[in-house]
Amino acid sequence: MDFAVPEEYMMLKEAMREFVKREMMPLEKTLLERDMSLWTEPGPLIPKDDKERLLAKSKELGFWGLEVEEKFGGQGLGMLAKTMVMEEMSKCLVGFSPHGFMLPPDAPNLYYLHACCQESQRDKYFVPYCNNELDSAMAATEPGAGSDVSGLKTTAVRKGDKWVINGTKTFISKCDKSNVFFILIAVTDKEASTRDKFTAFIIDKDMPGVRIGKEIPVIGAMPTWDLILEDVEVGDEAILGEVGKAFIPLQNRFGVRRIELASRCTGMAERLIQMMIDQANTRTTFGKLLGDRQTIQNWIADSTMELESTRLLLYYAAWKSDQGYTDLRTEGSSLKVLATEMLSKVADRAIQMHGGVGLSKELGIEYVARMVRIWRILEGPSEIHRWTIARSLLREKKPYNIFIMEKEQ
Amino acid sequence: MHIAVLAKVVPDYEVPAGDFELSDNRAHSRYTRMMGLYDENAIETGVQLKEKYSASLTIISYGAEDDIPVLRKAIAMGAEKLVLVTGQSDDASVIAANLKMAIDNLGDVDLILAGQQSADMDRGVVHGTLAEMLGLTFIPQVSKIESENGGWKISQLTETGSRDLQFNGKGVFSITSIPENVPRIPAVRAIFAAKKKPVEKVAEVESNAMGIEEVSVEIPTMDSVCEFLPVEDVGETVKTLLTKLREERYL
Repeated sequence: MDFAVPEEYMMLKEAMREFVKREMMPLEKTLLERDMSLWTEPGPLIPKDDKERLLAKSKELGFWGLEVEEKFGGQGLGMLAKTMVMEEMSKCLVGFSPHGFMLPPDAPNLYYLHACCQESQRDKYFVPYCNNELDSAMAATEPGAGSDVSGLKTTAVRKGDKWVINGTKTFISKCDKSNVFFILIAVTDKEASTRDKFTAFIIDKDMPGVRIGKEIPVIGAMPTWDLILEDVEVGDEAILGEVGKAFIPLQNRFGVRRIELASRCTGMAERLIQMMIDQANTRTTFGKLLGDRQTIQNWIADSTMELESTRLLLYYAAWKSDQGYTDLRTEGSSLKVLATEMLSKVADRAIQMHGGVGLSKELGIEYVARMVRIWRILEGPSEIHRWTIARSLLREKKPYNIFIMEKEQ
Repeated sequence: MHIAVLAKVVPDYEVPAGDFELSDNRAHSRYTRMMGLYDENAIETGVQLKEKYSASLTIISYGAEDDIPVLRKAIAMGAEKLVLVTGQSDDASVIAANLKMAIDNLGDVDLILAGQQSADMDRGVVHGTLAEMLGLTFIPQVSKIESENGGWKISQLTETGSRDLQFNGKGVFSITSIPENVPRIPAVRAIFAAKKKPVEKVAEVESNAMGIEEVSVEIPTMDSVCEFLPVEDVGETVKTLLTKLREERYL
């Protein structure tokens, strides 16, 4: 077993750290100010010019598509490299928030498209997606069905050589983008079991019958909309994967998102712990440094233990993905719960330790606390993930097996 | 044209002086190792000259083998080769003699660039000593270099102003920091290509140390005194602040 990080990966981290310091940190104040005025002045959290500059510079440095195969214009470095870079990015609010700045292409849909798209879709959607010419959003959740996909009501009915799609999706992101396409999950066989019931379709935003509904305000930066589909007609070329077989790739796709989300949490937790250490070493109350008080020491120690245990599982899951394992449902669920609950606790302690200024918009800790509260529900609530993990173990009738034998060289 | 840049790996210079811990009169080994601040300016200058004049660029360092992963950043920035003379001396004369040996081994070096001063000892002595040993001209605090009519057009930046110089032949220049030589962030592909570039390790040669004995090393304790300046006119406040900083010799 080898826990040493390759030199190149450390340099990659260092390079992103420098990029964050020079290019992203100066935008944190802007992000926090924009966040405060979001509902009276809708729009992006980062000004368009700054976002374009970040995109151009990160592309020039080769940070796009770190996990995308080289034949599709990426770097072919895999999930562990991306995870370590994401952690560095997430030490800044601009990189931590998916609505600040993200390195294209967004990983989960990338993995889904790569695994399932047809040859014609590869040229039309996958390659432009890798090059940030197109964006994508997952359209699965409905007013009556979130984590429990068996309640999905959007249907795709076969009529001649077409599929006719009807339904309403909700909490769908990126609907304000002009170049977005949707990966839409619809019921194609009501009588079938969950595994054979759903089909994924690629839907363009400007297709007849596609309508963007109202934006849904929530407690933090999570711009999402309703998406209404009224007699949307598509051919077989819109099917992503196989008819009736969306469930497994969808679950795998969620696994990738959960690992990515965990790296945002570990990156930001590290920064918050640094802030806590700085505060503990400089703030004096009643003649004593905060750092001399046992409660403060406990907060720092507990935060560190929780962060590092989460990070070890995160690196393991990313490494496992790089070994070619695609079923990361248990790891993804475990990480989703561990990482979001860990950051919730760390952010709460950081606020408490900073007192009034911790609550202020100035430090941004409250932004983290709001964002991670969203993440404890987004992409599956913690309770569903615990259930998923337990159900898998109960079905297997044995504990989780973390051990992977080294492959013969 | 062959350019050599001298680089030194130092303890994390971003650790505040007040927090710095010594062990055997040197930085405690727990501190992260990194390349010197001005050394990176010198490397960036070297890379720019390489790109502009199709020169070749070699990084030369004196230090420990563990420094190699840190120095590889210079290769990722654009250098072609790293020469490390392995040794542990802190003596400026010993270091200069060993750097001279590495430069002599290369044979065809036209220009030697070095950071203005190291980020740990802050002496700014090695490059001048090296120039003397090599019998070359030494020009300190260089901010810009251009090749012109077979010679060099050089800008020198001091605290109070700048001056332009012309120079023919080979030389050792110490490089200062300016916005134009902020070290580039290595690109992803360059990072992964760097590991494949040659690294030459050379054993140090014996040489005479300077006649100086280190008696003790101390880090001065820092007193924090906070003074609020009135901000009725921002421009005036900035002027007052600058004046005070100059008076106290912080600038």
